[in-house]
Amino acid sequence: MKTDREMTESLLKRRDEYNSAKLRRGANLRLIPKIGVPVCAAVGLITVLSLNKNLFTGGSINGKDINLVSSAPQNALLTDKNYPDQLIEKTTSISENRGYSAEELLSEEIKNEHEIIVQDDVGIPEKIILDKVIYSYIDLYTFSVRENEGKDMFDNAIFYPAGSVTFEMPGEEKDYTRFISCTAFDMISSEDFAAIVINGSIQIYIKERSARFETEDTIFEVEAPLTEFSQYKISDQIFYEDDECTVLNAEEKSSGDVLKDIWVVFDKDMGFSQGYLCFSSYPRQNYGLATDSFGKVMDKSDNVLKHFLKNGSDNYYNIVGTLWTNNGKDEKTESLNYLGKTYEKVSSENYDNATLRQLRNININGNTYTLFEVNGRSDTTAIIEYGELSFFHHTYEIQLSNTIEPISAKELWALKEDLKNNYINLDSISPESINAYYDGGYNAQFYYKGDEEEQYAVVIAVDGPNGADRLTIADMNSEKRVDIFIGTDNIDDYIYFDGDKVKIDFDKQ
Amino acid sequence: MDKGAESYLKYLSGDDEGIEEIVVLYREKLIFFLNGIVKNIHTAEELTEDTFFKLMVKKPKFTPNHSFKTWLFTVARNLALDFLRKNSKKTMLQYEDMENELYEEKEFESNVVKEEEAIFLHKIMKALPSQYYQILHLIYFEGFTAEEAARVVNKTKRQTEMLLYRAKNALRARLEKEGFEYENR
Repeated sequence: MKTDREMTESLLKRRDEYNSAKLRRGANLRLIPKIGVPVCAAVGLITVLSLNKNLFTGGSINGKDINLVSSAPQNALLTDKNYPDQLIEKTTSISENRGYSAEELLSEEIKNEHEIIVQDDVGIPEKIILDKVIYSYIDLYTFSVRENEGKDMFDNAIFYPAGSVTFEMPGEEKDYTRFISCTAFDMISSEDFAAIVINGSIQIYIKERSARFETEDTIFEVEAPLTEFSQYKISDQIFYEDDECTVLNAEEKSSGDVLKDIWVVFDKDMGFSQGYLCFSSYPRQNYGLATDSFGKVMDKSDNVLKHFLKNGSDNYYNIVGTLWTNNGKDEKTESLNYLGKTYEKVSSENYDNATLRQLRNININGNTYTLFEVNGRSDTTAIIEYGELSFFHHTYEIQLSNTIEPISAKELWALKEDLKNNYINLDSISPESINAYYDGGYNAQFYYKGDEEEQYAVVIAVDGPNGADRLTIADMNSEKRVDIFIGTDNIDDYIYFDGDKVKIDFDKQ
Repeated sequence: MDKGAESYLKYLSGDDEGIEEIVVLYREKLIFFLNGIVKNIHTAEELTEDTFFKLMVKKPKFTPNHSFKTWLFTVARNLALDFLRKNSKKTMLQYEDMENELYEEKEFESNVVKEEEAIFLHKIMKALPSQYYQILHLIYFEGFTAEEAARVVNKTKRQTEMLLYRAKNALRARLEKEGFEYENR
């Protein structure tokens, strides 16, 4: 067996051989997915940029002044048979089909031709996704520099427009993010690299891994890497696992209160400290958008859902037809609860041209369904069940239900802030001040004695199958309501009748 | 920041001495751990070298608020599992080779673990199902907390605690069995 010393020597030798081999392969190098950053190439880049400044003229890369000279001698890498000379010839005219030198890339002219970012306040994105590949930003200072190693790699680099990339950056206000698009460029010196131009600097990115990820029956495609500008609530429940990765469901909160269901893929190979090498995947309409009645994500076959939903934009989908019919044996869902509201099934005949927006997964009788908002209305939802869309409508009729977790009076009062922010202004209501009149009907009407123009109702259903188990606070003017379900066990503890008046004591347990 | 993390950052900053320090710190520990998974001392050694090599060429980011050792063991374990998956067909060894291998393994283990009792315990642990072995080794031989071990074996803390509970029961049963047989020999 080797000693410590022998193993170290062996490792250093292997590392050097690996780096040399990489350099020899140079531009022709293809990064095997999950192999990570080709260090030698990066080292080469640094070397060129840091040690050979005299080779370059004009502009800067990653904010550091560099020079790029078109007349630098060509080298073995760039005369590789795979990259014939004409590809690296200097171009003098700007054209879609031809590449740009770094100098040209920073010129005013190209800004008119391509989407080049000029705002001062745009930061540098950590990752970009180009042509289904994730690229990582190279911070030149984090790499060590070795003289003469790979120094030719970026001589005469030619940048070819490769497509538009979009990334997320923080906005001026807290909790606000914005999406920024710009043109990304391939670099002829190596297909492992891509570049974008921001504020007069060329930012270099290195190929990291495929943005496409396949499990046995699902394809995930990365739409955006996880960013520090969003919050992620990652579920403990493992959605899929094999020897290489773990896929977990997560909820992303970004751009204010927008919630999205995403999948996060952890690469076991890289260990947990590579948290942000894992990526989020927004399921696309052809795979993984809908779940079947058993909670399994639809397979990757393009046949399943693309006939069913046509992708619009921003997670909106237009219905183009239905695929399956119920086999008649299984009962369909007749009602569902979402955010404290009960939605009852309605006929789908009026929704042929509905636009759906994916909301989140919900659980109905133990099965997971993807819930959609319909036509931008929060009172209508839809799920896909047995291959058909079922539509549900929230009515303001009291629908008693004991399926929602009961809350105590104290918890109810603790929701005051939420209610105020999201539904109605309850600022002036105090526990003692809710003092309303019982009308003796199906619903007990409790009117808050407040300002005439700001009248609220507290409605308690008193004769449902579970007794009085629901409290509704509603703004009588705007008809906005929130339903709060209360367990029947303790409702009498804090709601009591006083003649024709009813009082609610929020201070009681 | 632990010593391993410091050495790794040293290596990242361009100083090869960093990798030498890591080898000195973890070579034996990793071989010891991996041998229990792949059941071959030479393969364990190769996988240990591969683990370090991966570190050197991939230069993955290290988050200082995690233990470097935990991370290193995670990578090593994954390599070992990968190896087992790809080499599910067992290689036949000549009797002589096997004898040499066992001798080297014994010699290596006595270098790493001085107490005879611990060597015996480890031997029993290796005979347990791999998952049991891994969790017991990480906690009793490497001093990982349940949380750290959970990271290495890629389970939740709760799952790890359950696994440890079952592993300990299995170990106890095996020890009792071994002890009985030993006494009757």
